[in-house]
Amino acid sequence: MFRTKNHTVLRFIFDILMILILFFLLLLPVFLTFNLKIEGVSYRTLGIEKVAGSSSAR
Amino acid sequence: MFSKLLLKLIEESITPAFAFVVFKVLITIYLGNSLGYNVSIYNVFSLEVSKDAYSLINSYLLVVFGLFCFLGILYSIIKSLYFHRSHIHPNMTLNLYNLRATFLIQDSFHLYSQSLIWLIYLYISLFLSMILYFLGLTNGYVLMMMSFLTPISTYFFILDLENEMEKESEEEEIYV
Repeated sequence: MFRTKNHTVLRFIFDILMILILFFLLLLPVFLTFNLKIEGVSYRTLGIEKVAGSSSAR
Repeated sequence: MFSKLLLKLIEESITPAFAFVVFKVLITIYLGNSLGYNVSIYNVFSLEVSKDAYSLINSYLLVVFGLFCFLGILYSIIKSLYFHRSHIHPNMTLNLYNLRATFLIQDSFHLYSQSLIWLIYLYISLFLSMILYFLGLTNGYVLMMMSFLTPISTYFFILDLENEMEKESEEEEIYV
């Protein structure tokens, strides 16, 4: 019922799982870089400051 | 049952991911302690530092990881240029057998999946340095270095790929 030409539902689930593992491994540098925190400042505040600063400078 | 390509990509991405974790731990502990923070293996992932310390730690981390990825892609490109299974010289094969370095002889599947993963990590480092530079959290030289290393690696990768495709089309012409 669930079987197509070569692939089964189980194969599809394993593929999705492997894609998720690959995704996690590839994004590990991003997670670990933003894991370090700055005293008293959040990334959101910094981003807003940058954008607002550049728009107010015009 | 498993996708061979996905499995290979996961296998190849373990080395750079693990290297990043090791670099992160070592650099944060060394620089954090030298800057006066009490950093140990237990609080390395939940550390709060000043903006200058953050900039220094992440700059060093990105430089080291960028160079590591560049060396990784250079290694796989050299392998595919000189030790590719499809066009390795017989004398070279003999030399590698004598040196017991036959693991260097690989096929396109192994070589290009490895190069691709290193290239993806290099691009991730480039985008990270761009974001951090935009937020004022890293030095300009990091972005400059990454903007230099990434296009060079991409150029070598494309050159190697085109070289291989030309060789394959030449072989097809011979057989046709």
